[in-house]
Amino acid sequence: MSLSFLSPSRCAPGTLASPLTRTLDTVSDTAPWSEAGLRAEGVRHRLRDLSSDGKVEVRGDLDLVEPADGEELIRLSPRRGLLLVDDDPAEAADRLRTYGVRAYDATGALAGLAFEGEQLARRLTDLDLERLPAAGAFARIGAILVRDEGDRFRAYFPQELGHYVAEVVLDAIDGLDNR
Amino acid sequence: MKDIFVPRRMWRPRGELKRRYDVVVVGGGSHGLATAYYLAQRHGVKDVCILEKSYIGSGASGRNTTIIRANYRTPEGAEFYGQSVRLYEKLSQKLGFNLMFSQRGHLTLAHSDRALVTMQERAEVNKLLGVNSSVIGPAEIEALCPQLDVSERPTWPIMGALYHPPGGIIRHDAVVWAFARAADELGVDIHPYTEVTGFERANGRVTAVETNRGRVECGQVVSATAGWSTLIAGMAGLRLPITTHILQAFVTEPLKPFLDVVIVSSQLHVYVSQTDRGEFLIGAEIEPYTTYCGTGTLSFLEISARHSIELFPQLERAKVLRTWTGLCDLSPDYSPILGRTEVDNFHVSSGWGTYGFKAAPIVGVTLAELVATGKTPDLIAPFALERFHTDTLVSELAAAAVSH
Amino acid sequence: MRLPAQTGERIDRSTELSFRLGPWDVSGYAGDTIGSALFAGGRRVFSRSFKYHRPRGLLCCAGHCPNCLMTVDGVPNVRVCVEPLREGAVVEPQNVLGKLDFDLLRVVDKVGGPFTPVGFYYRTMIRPRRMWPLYEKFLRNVAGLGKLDEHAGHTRRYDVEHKKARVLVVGGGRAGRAAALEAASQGPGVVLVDESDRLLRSELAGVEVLAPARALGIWEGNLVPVDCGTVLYRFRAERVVVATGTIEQPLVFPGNDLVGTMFPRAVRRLIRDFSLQPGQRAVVLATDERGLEAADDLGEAGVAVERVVDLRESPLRRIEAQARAGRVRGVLLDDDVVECDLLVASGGRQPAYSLLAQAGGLVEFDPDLGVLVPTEHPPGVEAVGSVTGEGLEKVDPLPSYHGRGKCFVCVCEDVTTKDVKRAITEGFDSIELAKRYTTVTMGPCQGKLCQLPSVRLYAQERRVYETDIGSTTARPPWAPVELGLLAGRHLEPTRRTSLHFRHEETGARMMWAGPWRRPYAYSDYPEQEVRAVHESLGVIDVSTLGKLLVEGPEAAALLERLYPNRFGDMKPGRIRYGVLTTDGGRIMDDGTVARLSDDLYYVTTTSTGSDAVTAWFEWWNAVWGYDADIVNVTGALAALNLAGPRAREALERLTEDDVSAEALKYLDAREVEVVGVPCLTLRIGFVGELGYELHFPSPAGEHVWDRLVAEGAVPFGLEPQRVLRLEKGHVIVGQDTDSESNLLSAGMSWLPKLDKDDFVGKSAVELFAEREERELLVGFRMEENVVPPEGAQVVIEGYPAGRVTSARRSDEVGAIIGLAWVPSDRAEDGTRFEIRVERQLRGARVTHGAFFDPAGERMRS
Repeated sequence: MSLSFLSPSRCAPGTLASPLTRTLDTVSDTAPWSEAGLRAEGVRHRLRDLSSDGKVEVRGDLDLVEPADGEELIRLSPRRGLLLVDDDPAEAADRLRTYGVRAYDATGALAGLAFEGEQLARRLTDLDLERLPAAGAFARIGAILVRDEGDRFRAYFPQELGHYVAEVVLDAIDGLDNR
Repeated sequence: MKDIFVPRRMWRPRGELKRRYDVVVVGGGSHGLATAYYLAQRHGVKDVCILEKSYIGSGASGRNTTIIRANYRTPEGAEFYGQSVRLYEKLSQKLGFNLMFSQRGHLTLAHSDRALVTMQERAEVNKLLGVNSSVIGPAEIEALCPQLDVSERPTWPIMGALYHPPGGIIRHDAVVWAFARAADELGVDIHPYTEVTGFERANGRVTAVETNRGRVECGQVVSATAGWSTLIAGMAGLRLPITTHILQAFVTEPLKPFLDVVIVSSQLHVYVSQTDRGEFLIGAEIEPYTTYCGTGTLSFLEISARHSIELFPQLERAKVLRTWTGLCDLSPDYSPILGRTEVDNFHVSSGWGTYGFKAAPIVGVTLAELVATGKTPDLIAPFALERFHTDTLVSELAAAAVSH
Repeated sequence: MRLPAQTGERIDRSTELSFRLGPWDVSGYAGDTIGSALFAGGRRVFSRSFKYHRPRGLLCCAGHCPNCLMTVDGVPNVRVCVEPLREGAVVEPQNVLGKLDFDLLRVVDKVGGPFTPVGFYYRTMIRPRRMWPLYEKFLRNVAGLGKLDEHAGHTRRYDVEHKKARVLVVGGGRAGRAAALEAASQGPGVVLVDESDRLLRSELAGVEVLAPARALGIWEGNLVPVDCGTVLYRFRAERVVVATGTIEQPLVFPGNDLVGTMFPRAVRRLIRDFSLQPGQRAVVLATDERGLEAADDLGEAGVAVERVVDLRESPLRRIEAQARAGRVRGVLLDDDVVECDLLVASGGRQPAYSLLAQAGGLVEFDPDLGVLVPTEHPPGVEAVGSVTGEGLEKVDPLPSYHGRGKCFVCVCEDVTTKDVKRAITEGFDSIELAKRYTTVTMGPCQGKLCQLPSVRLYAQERRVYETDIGSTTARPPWAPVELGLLAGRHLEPTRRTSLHFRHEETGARMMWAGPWRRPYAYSDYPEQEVRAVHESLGVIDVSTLGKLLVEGPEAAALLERLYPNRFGDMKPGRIRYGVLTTDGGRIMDDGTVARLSDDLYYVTTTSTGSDAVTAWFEWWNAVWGYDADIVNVTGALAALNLAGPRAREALERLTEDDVSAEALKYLDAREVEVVGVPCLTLRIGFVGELGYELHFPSPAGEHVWDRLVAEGAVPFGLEPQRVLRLEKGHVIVGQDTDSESNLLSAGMSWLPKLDKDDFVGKSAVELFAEREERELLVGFRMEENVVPPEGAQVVIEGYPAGRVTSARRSDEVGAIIGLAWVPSDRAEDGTRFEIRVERQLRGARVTHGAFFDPAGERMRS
């Protein structure tokens, strides 16, 4: 039996939803942010929902993995990694298996959120921001944090905690002028 | 009363170690001192000494959350701790020392329906054994403790509570001092700053105790060393199924009376009470990892503060004054390991987790009886070390909250 | 009354701020502290003491002592001497019965002395026993300091920020600034924390300055939380440099707490920072240069300095402050009385070593300096400046001066020298014991002002050297910190399935189930949801089930060894129920195990068990070293249980795959595409009717759910599910079992295969097989129409002998049914036993087998 039941990409078009959509969409009329609604609206353009981006969990000797163009391998331990992919993650997982590792489509498992600002990051995690990517505590849960150019960050975390994380991030943005 | 006009010594200054004692009690905390006291008082066994590596009451006796209660889950536990509470109730009068036992009522909060079931079970067991305990709803909780946030606002709203009216708090150091004074008066020798370094053994018995101040021959040995139980037992060649963990607590600056009852929430891992001096005493659950390191953690302070405010938002601007840690000796079933061991004359009071202080007087009574008569009292028979060989555990571990 | 404007003063005379003290309007200048503004307005009594309710005035002006604790804007115990003044602040006295200047409880001081020696409460109020609650109520009301605002809470926003520093310097005095600049010259990442806001940042180029701010402690790994008011900075520092300087110590003589006694530095602050005249006529008792400096300051401020005594050169035998209404009116020096209203005195400076000691450093009494000094620092932590004792000169005042009247060792707790002496006489002869008995060092200053004086006094009284006394353990935090700041934000992790909002929109009552939010039921009538499942079709969100993939050539071997029953012989596409046991043979978790291919298994766990089971599998796999990977896919997949007689018919309409009874048999696992979504479909029957569990990518949750509901499936919640499974006698691990339950006692003796070589807990299960269980889990029917609460006790001869773990009314069975633990001799089918319900004993009968469809025909249909 195949593992296609793990893959959102194997679902028919129009069947999928992100766990963050409602939280991010209802910023201005959700009670806790009512006062900060406008400000949060202002920062929303700096938040990006990455939940539907392709993610593959890799198990085995990571040195065997050859990331393709547009792929990014995050090493979590010598035998465990997360491959971020642009193309179909199910196909990427199949390809990885040909290298001699085990690979599982984690697209549905992990929600993702991109945000800007080092101070915001420092309010959310005690990970060393100069040594990313890394896995650790983010918004008081376990997450994988990646740093892009400058002050841009990406966080990947269990989708069942997605609504919670989005709330925490919005709340932290709301408190940035508390210093 | 007259003692307040004329200062009187509580106990004799530390004397020389004698060459031999009939009974050597290792550990000068509430259990060791109570055992020595009842040995002398009830059984006339007065050739007894206490060996304490630091000052009396320096271990768990002086670091607990000072809560006394009897609403345990197992019939064995409820009966045992029930008798302890009854002894505590009259202990101030018996020992002539005000222990400030304040039976203000004890509330264990439920934040889930599974927790409520566990409490219902405890309440039912308690009622059958004459321990005053019942499950109450949010309205009754609010009447007993109007300061508590019983609204739907917190992450885990309060759904009910196990109410135990005789539960309360006590001045823990006073219990130690009162037992020490009473034991000393009956001739028990208390040796603070006397550390046990080993045991001499022959024919499956301990024949002498080695200390940093010399060697003492002994008839019988009682180890009441809480967090150090496994180390002391190890010196006697005995392995106990106990792990040692820290428990952390803090107090706030003194405030005027605000909270009367004692509040416990296992979901939030906090205990909250207010001392007679006005400090809020807030403690956590046992830390899950094993350690003897007593420096404590910042995350304990952060989590306990957050959860205390979930219960009492008014505490937001109260200030933490001091934090500390104590050692807990945890047994696999959360019930004590009490009485005889496979080393013939070596008795233990151990495996208490966070419950030890609540049991001090009844441990004293029952261990003294065992040491004096050689017979294990029925009350503590279920807590024998042997239960881990026969696999007849006494589980105080509440049913885990699981639901499909 | 202010002094003429002077350079360096911190007040801005052009900006007046008004605030209130109780009912009175008062004012001050921007730059004032609340304390300095009140002092300028003529206020001298700021508080009433803890025990004796003696009037107390400004003493240290540094935020250390308890004398200026007041309630500000409803916040109790604020040290107003360092609290910046703000417009509109409402300041109230605390611990007062009446007025600050006339406290009715001062009677305790006047006449209570002989009755209230140290520890008096241990010796009194013992009999009659029933009176204690009344005594206690009185004691509690007299004790305590500020009052909490009963309605306050969630008024402030507190945030936490994580920061890094190469070098973190605590203390912005001369040594601290030098250390910071030195470190900054070697590179960036230098942070300096100081309690005051008077640091000149311009002088600290290249240094990040946090002020006013306070380092609360140094925890393992050089974790240093810094209190900045409403933000807690959690620093990780490569190096911590402690430059906390010294704290002036009280000189211990009778009347040393009177209003009008001040430390030399307090005098300097009042004069130089706030342009205030600390008194009219002053006497200065100096033990170091600071005392003499204060005398100069006073002279410049136009205060009449009546006498300056340098105790180093002209020691005194006798010092006794004389009082009028609690204020200094003169001082007896040996045989001379000098009139004054200000008595400046100090017992020297004690290095402020607490941060170092709390972090595990050593502190010892230095006989050459006469103070306690840190001698060994924790790793990664250094100390510079006077905190090390550097630059201090020997101070050697008498531990206490002779005279009449109360002579305080500890102003926080009102402990006098007499109290300490008495404690020692009574046998509390070690400093730790005496601390707990007298409460010295346990008050708001946490020993900052009383550790050294008490060490000196113990040494004198016990006739030993101070070096033999030791000191009490220093405990964090360095200074009191608000709970709210430590707490930070209050959002807590909450797990929601991908259908969470659908449930809410459908009107579900949500409840906590472990870390998850789940629907209890969708209306107030869960029995209607039960009926829908029995009669037609229901759907429940079971996405919370733990879900693991176990893959590898040795996956079968791993599961064989983890579970008591067998999985190696399963055919791909088949499902088997499994129960995990601990090494003690106790039931740990349960679920289904489907074999998807030779080396791939799909394991479900209970909703709360997924993390623990994953860790358990990984732990054992690491021990045994099998070639198998364990992947927790709990969140990756939504799971819906479609159940009821119409289940197959509905499924057939939603898929093109063959889901006929022949193609998808009971306990088969197949991939089926349902409404465009690939679903791992498990044909199992927890609720007792024909049912399919669909496991599919969680982002498709709402899509599949909506289509099933459109097909007529009635959403049902946890409560109806509990009824349905109880009708089948299915056990819920953790509800019907506890930490002692094993497979044999829980009625699953068929499950463990003792002929297997090994499995976790095998030796224990073998032991159980040889002995008789004390109690057994059985089904029961009530004889009467009463639902016993879960937790109700099975009673035999008045003693608890068992317990009800589940009980519900079942319309389908037409009875009240449940599961209970009963003594093993009462477990035969049909045996009657009694359950205590609301104080009455109610009869019940043991019922073996399922209550509903015992042959399982409906779920196999």
